Amino acid sequence: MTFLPVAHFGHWYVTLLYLGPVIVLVLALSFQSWRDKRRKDPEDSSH
Amino acid sequence: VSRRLTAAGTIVLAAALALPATASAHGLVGKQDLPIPRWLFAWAASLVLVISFVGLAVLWPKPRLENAREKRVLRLPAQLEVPAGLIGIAIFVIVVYAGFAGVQTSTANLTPTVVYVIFWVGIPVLSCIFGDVFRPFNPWLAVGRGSGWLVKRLGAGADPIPYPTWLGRWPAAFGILAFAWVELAYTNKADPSTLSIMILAYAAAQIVGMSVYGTDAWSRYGDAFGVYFGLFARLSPLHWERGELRRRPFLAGAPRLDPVPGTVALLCTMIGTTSFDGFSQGPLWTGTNGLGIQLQHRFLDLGFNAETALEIAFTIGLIGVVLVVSGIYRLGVIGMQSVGENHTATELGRRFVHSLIPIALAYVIAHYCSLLLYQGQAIGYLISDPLGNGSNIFGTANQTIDYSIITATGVWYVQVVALVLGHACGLALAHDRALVIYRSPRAATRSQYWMLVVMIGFTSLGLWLLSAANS
Repeated sequence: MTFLPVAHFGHWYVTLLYLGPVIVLVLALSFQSWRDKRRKDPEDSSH
Repeated sequence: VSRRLTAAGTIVLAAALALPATASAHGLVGKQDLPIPRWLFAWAASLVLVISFVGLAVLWPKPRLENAREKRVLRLPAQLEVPAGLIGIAIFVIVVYAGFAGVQTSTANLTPTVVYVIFWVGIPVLSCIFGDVFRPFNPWLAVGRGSGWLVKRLGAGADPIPYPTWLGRWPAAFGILAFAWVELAYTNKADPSTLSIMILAYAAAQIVGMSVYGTDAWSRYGDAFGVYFGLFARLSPLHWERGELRRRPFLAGAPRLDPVPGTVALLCTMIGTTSFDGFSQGPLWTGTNGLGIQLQHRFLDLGFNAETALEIAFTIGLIGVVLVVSGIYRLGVIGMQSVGENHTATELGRRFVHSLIPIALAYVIAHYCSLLLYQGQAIGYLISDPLGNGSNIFGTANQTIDYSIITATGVWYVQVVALVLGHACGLALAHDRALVIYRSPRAATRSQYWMLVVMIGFTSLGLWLLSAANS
């Protein structure tokens, strides 16, 4: 029987903390991009 | 585009983190004593990169590196080429001879240490400080030039074929991948005589390449090691060219990189192979249920012997990590494309590829600094006893490796600083190029948002790999 490496979450969950900065930045950029788009939309519809 | 990018990014980064785990501390001695958890260094490094990014956006409104001027420091006599080439050939002969004639123990024979430590790690470090120091001593280039001169004098031989544009740096990319395969996947990698055979085969291939396409074109695009060291030399403030030594701002050689086909593949291979070296030493690869162990079992079940199963598993892992690194870079490029101005992803990928050079160097330093600092000392006694037969040519055969030269904690700090500086330099190069490509500084900064994600992703990946290796 084979096990996936995810089997022992407790052994490697700390590694997820290394992904944190990337996730935070991606979320921030996605939010900014969504906000920019939202700002543009009303301008487009007014023309 | 943004949604697709976010989804794709999540998948690639999740894959990257699901795979990895560690990297490496070749010969690391002692235990690290750190004031904060290692993962916090990744957050601190990311913060430094974000601050650097903001600093670049505010304080760097015009390109500075793209057209930086060089100043001649001194002129070198052309006659120096010959003795330099002869020295390179002499070292080459000694290394190959030691591999064949010496004891077949990797630590007692000169050849493995010269190849894996001095050549593979030492020359990149020297190149980024002193410029392309390998080129004048490149033994196969010296042989190619010498035989070319002789053929010309005798009035024999045909003119070389023009180097095909489509071939670009692909031969170099495959050459570096092949060397990394030998280093990381081949089970007989440390056998001195096998190494000597491979060195001779590589040199022969280079001489064939130079005789077909000419020494200059082949050495600049096809010679894997010549190209590899030449890329790092582009970061140096010193530039050796046409019998002159010139100085230029640090990093200013990188924007002059001609992004011919294969350049992106070469740099992604350089970063990916170093990453896999770390990954393959960590618990997610080597653990009881690690990916590497599972792959080996699969191939054992298919009837392969243990050695071949191991090599296949490592080959798959090596190529997989190179593809993950390429995917991360591609994501940054697709993100840049979303800024508009009708640039294709392929064009942007090539035009920003030079920003990966300092990252590749950072990975080499971070990954191999302990190897260089500890095992590099072995050269002191190996030059006195290159064959391992008890000779003492220079009286240094009894020297030993001083492991107190740097502590494990010191190595960790060197690794962190190398990664942060390398990625900050990558950001600066990408920012400088964006100012040339995009119409306004604002668009240039916006285009670099996703490159910032890429840089932080590579930094976190590097620290994660290293921390797993040290754990």
